[in-house]
Amino acid sequence: MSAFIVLLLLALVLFTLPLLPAVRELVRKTDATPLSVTRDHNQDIRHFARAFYQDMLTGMGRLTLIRAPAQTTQHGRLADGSRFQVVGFRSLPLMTPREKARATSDSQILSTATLTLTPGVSYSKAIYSEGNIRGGPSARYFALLGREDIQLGRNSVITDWAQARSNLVIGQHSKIHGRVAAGGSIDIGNGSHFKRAQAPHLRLGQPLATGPTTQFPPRQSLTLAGAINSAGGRLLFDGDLRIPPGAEVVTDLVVRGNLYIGANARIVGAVKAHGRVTLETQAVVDGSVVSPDLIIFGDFCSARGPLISETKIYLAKGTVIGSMKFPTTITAPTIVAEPGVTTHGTLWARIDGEVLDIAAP
Amino acid sequence: MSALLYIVAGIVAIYALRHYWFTLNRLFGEQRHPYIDITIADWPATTVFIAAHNEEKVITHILEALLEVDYPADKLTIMPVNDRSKDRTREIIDQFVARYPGRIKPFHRTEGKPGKAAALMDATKLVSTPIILVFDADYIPGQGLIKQLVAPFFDAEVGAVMGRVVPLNVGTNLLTRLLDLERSAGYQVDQQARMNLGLVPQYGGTVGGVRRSALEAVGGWRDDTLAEDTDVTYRLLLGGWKMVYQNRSECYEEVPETWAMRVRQIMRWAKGHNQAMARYTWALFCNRQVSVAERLDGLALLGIYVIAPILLAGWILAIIAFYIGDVSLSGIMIMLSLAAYSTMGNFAAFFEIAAATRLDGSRNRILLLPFAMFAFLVSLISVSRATFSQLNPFKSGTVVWDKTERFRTGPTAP
Repeated sequence: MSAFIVLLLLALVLFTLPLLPAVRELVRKTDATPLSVTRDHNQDIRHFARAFYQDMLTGMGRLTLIRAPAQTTQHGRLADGSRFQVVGFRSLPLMTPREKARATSDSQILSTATLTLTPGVSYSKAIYSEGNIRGGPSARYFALLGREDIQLGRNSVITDWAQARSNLVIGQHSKIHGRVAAGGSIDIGNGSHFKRAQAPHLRLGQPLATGPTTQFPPRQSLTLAGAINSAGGRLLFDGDLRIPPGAEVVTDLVVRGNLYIGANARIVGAVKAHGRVTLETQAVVDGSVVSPDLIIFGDFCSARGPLISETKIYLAKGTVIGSMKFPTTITAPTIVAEPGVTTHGTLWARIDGEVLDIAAP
Repeated sequence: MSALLYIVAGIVAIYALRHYWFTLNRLFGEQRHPYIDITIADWPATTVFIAAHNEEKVITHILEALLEVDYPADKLTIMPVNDRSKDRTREIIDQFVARYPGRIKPFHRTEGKPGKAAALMDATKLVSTPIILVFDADYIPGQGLIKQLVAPFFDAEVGAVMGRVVPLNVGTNLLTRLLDLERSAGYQVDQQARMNLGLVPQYGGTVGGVRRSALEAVGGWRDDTLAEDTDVTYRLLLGGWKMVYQNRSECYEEVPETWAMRVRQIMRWAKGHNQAMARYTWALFCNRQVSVAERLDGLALLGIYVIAPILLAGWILAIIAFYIGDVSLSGIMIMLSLAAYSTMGNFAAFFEIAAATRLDGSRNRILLLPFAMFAFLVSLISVSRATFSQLNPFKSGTVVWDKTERFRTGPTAP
């Protein structure tokens, strides 16, 4: 009998042992708050610039800037011990001999007017200007915020973010590792790489001198046959689908193979393909273009957007995505653009975006 | 008898493998979030339905949250679908309508068939927007949520979208903490894995939406079902549409705080799901428009609640077989097989919970995992009861709005 009781107790102990940490956690509630959901997060690209500006206002007060004497540069330390300098009108940021030797600047730089930055220097702290920011070639920036334009030379590197109230020009062969935004336009030079860029007007590479030279006859309306399902305002096709050149199709298209849209053809609607989507010269899609595979836009094609690929988007010269009235999003792990591409809205290359270094015709 | 036992073990093993596959995919596979980057677009006109039935405790919070969302106001219709509430729900909604003219278009439903599906059916007739989102009244959407949920509809193949539900009242008691773990596993692992693998993420009826043209093409909402969400999921799938799960489109909800409520909730889900199983299993099996992978996953998903009575039957059969000695294998092999089946088969869902808490970056809540066994048993019995009750040919098939009680009294979000 006693052996049975011992066995019973042993079983009870073995059963309750794994519950002890659970009981402890239940009583102590060390991890009992709801999972974090950022309710005010709306993926605004300007988030970091706004946060920086707010910090600057609270940290040292914009009044400091306004009252900064013209033609002088003042410097000091912030509450956290980091250095800052306020650059006056027609003045230049100061660099210590050590910084000059290392070609680095470790101060937060604030400017009351147009700010000219030294070429070849690595700026490890944020830079703010009440006017324009002009950066020379081969400089490296952590963050830039300009109340007017920002113009960076060739081989520039932005490691975190840049935002211009008006226009942002990034020289050839530059690298944008973070996000850049502008209230007016962004120009990204030939041979540059980017991650995320947002502006009402984005010009990738050297603008084209001329428009399309091929003239096409007027488009012919086309009713597509062979859809396996046509309910709900879209046509669903199994396998590949080719839209002949010059055809105009008014519907949403879903294709379970590759989709080829012939030269000068137009789709009035959205398109989705499980395989590749290829638009030949001057083809138009009045809607979104979606594929888990490669999306290729030929010369002078256009789409209303968004463009979504889970692999790569290739945009040939003269491509226009979105419009000033209807800005849109282009998103893919890899985005490659020939010089002469125009987009409106957001470009988001998860892994790498590249403007090819080829001469625009 | 042993043959029957092996069939049960075989079925459970299939589901166990499915759980492991999903968990491993979620931990080590490529994660798909193709639409989450769409922040700028020509956003389509959208209606947000707030399903409300006696929601005086929570309706204010969701209306306030929706009025603050980042979506063009001229393209967003907020429609509380107030289905014959007997509390102050109507009064509160009307106060908001007066305070924000033109922003809220209420639908006070006073007659017709009861139930959420019937209410949504009537409400859908009143709107013309191409996109319809649905929230239950206890949800609190964040600023960017509406755009996130609408973005996948730029894909012409997408018929429905589902976001992630995150419990708000986690710390209330053991039940809420266990439901928090369960929700994590269901969304963070199960739904996202199905999204990754191109299978069938389920539209869950709240924090989600449907493309109106797709919904109409498959016959609209059905008011004769207890789970209009599962029903719509399968009709859209059969109609060649895709469902999208957006794991980063998160929204707080209130989970049941009493076991009685929880039992009622899961029984309702089980009955609704089983209804869908009876309706669509054969149609899905035969449908050549749906890929083989989607069909297999869809069939497995349809049977998910039937697994509970099967599992229960398996346990009973195993005990009986043991005592009457009716086993065709013997010795170490049967012991190993049964041990493997018991640890890896029956409780594979717990691996999803463990993986989900890791993915969520939670620290100590995983310590509660042993208690999940009790919740599992409660669910097992409740779902089995619900399933057996559906087999009763004399039981009334009337659909009612089985109200989930609200407990919120304090602040709306942490």
